[in-house]
Amino acid sequence: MNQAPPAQPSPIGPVVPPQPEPAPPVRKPLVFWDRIKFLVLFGALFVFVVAAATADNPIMGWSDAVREQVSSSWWLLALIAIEVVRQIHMLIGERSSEYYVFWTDRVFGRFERRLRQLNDWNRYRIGRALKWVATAAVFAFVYARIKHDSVFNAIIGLPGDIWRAAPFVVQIMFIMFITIGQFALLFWFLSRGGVDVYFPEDIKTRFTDVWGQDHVLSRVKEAVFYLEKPQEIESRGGYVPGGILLWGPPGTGKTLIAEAVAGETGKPYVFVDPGAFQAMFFGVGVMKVKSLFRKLRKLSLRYGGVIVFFDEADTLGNRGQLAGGDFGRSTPSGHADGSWTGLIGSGGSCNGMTYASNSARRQLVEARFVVPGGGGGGQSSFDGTLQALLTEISGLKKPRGFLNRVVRRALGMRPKPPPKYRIMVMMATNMPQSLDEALLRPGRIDRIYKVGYPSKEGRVRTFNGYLAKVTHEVTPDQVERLAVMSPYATGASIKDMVNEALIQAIKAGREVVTWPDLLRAKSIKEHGLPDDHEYVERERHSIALHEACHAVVMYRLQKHMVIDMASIERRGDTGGFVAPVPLEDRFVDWRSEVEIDVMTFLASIVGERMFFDGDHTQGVGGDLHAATELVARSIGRHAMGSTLMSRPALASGLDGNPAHTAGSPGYLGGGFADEVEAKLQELYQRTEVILSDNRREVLAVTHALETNKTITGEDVEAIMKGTLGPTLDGRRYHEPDFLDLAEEYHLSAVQAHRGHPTEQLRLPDLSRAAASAGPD
Amino acid sequence: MSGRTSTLRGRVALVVPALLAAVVLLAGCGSARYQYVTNKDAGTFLKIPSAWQHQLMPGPAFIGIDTRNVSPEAARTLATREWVVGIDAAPKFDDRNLLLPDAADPKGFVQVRQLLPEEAATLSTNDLRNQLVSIDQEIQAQEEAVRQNPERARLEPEFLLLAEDLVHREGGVHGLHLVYQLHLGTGLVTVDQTSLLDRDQTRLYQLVFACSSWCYDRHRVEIQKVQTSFTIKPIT
Repeated sequence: MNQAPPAQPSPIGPVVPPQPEPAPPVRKPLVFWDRIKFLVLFGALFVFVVAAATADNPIMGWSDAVREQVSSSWWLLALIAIEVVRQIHMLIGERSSEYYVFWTDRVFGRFERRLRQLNDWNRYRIGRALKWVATAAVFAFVYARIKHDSVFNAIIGLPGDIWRAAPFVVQIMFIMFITIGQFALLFWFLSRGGVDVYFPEDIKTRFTDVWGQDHVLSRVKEAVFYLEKPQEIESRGGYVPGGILLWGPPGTGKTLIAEAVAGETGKPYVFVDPGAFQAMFFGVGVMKVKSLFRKLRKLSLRYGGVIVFFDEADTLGNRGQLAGGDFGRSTPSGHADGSWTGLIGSGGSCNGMTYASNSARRQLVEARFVVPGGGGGGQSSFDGTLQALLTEISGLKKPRGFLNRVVRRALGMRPKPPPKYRIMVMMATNMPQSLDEALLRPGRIDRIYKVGYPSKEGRVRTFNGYLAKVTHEVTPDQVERLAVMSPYATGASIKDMVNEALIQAIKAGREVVTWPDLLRAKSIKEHGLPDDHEYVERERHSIALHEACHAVVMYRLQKHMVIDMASIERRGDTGGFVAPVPLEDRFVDWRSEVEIDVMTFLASIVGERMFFDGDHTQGVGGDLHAATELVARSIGRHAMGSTLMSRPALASGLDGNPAHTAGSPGYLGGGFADEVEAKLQELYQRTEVILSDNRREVLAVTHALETNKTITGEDVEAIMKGTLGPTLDGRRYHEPDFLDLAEEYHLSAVQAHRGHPTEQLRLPDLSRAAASAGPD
Repeated sequence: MSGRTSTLRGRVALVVPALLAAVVLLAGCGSARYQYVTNKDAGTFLKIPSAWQHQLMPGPAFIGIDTRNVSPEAARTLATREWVVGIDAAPKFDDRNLLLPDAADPKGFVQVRQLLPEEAATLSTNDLRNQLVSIDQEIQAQEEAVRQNPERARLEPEFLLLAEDLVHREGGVHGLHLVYQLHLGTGLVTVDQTSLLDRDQTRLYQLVFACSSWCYDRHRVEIQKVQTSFTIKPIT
């Protein structure tokens, strides 16, 4: 008994699908129009000749005309007959495979093969030439019939006819010119302006005039180098970088860098005004873009390269889908400009924002001031201007010139490839999130540099530069200190600050700018002018104590910031503030640092309760808000609490399912609020400990604030250390009798606060040690 | 839906060439009944039976002109502005005997002539009567013959005016249509003569047929049709 051999395992390999039996070849069915187009053409020509015959002869009827044309234009009918036969041939070829194969292989095979030997371009040219000849023949035939002449004579006479018709044609053209020309002229005028061309000798600014932006400058120089010497990179197969975006806070010198590029480069420099593409009429913006790039291409060819600079590029707008707040490459960090403090600080008794570190401030700002996605700043562009710009920056490279495009093509020659345009696009903006995403893709704007706040060296140099223009007695050490104290100073703000110092000096009747002038100018510029408001004593004391608590906790805990100044002078809604200065430009904060930020915020309520027997003002509201928000965000996002999960990830849902459903914790569910409260309580207690340990220092700073209204960070340090400060003597606060005096004064203030009749509340005079005297 | 459309297209694709072929065949089957003698520059149109012959006559014929009075310049002008086409009902065109009045088949010509300035100034419709044969003189001679020998002159008249019609056509074209008999040595001859002037009297358009009276009677209908088709569309 034979056993069947064991089944062999099938070899592993790709599965080959069964090939369908190929259908016998037939001609591809023609589309309807291709089937009838020549019949229609010849038929139309025949109808034309018949119609022409009847039109020419008033006594000839249609039947006679047809009869006459059948004999005189018989060749047209012959063509129709041939075409009918051809179509029948095609039709059979579509139905019968044998017939089709016979004709294509046996009869036309050799011709077809020879035709295929031609390359595509030549075949296209021959086809085009034949079409031209056929069209010319039809035209000549029709024209000859109209002229009642032979085709040959009609063609010979054509130039003469054109010459005779020229005046009429010129008239028509003139009328068209007048009709269309006025619009063209109007739009031409509208599309002017907003674009200025500078040549190297026009601009005197040099790279050496840009201070404190060396890292950006070196990159920009590099790009300009390649533009000047393109062979350096092109010979190695690369290309000249096409676009640079300079972004950063206002006044940091973006435009100055661009100006320096214009001054240093040997290429023409085209400056595009912000809003140059804004236009009253639809389409003018597109025209402007096109005309700008036409000019750029011309300049590029003439001078071997060109630089175009778009200032305030956010005016170019966007199409609404951009990185939005997620300008990931370089989210602005460390912004501490006044606008944020202004936004947040309103409504509180003191400036709640200033106690926080930079990234904490950023978080708070984000929570309040949500930048709408795609809305950043510029307007949305729907009229095609932005799209035109995108296309022009990196679009199809079209062959250039009428001769090249039209004449060469007409002669059957290939147009020359487009030349290499070396156009460097520079843009500057302080709202990078307003730019369209497509604008920033590599190949368009492929180099994005942050022009941040100048480095310390740059600030020193800028201070020195502007101070050199005025008479002053500020020492290099003081300039250095000023630079440290102004980490976010820009060229523009330094210029303004020095000018303000000069104004202060002149107001004081002096010719020379002094160190206090600069400090005052800095205070005015950063925090504004005080309102000249006099508090009642007990309120003054409570506000001073509030700020002193912030200052003491900040001084004791903050390691990456120092106090710039503390003030109880009222400025609008702000009763007082303690302003810190970061020691370095940092990007991220640590969990411990966020806790310190929160404790700095909480210091006010802890201190007020501690010193006022559990009572506190409503001025702590802003601080509590900020502290709660910081803790909530840190617990929810940054694992500051007992859990690791990211609350926003939960809130945004999983797999597209919104998490805000029953049973889902969402952002705030699952005991989140309790956890935030617990964390706040914990930090509250830690703050309490610090303030208890520093009761004397709190009262000392309170006294200094009440006495001087505004003190510097160095004064705070002098008080804490018992040394001599710039505006006060801290040693006095460490003398044995101070604490008693201060406690006595504080007690009377507390009693006054409770409404108990008390003697005139008097701020202790520490003049014995010249507490309010300046340094020796 | 698309199936129906494609079927419809397929039908149309077949119908279009079939229709074209039908038109061509129908038109081709019957030969033309008339042939057209036209001068579009002069705006002159005429149709003659397709069996008749016509031929452009070379050189100016100066029919009806006293060439002794024509200056060389005027003769040159006439040579360039004159158009004469001979018409012959015979099977073969005979250009030498075209003006033979007693032909067995109708013969004649159509001519367009630019009038000389002096002619244009003086020519009247009445003068058209005497363009080829001086009708007035012939009538007088006939009347004289009747006075001298009434019986013979009436039985065998030397001249007989059969028809004289004033013609007014579109565009201010005007003139005369005359049919008269002449007695020549070879027999009676009938002449059918249409002479027209344009509105400004710058051009003379003439259609003349002549043949023996017997022949004229036989071809009267055809000649009348040709005469009726004689259309002038002066070029403005």
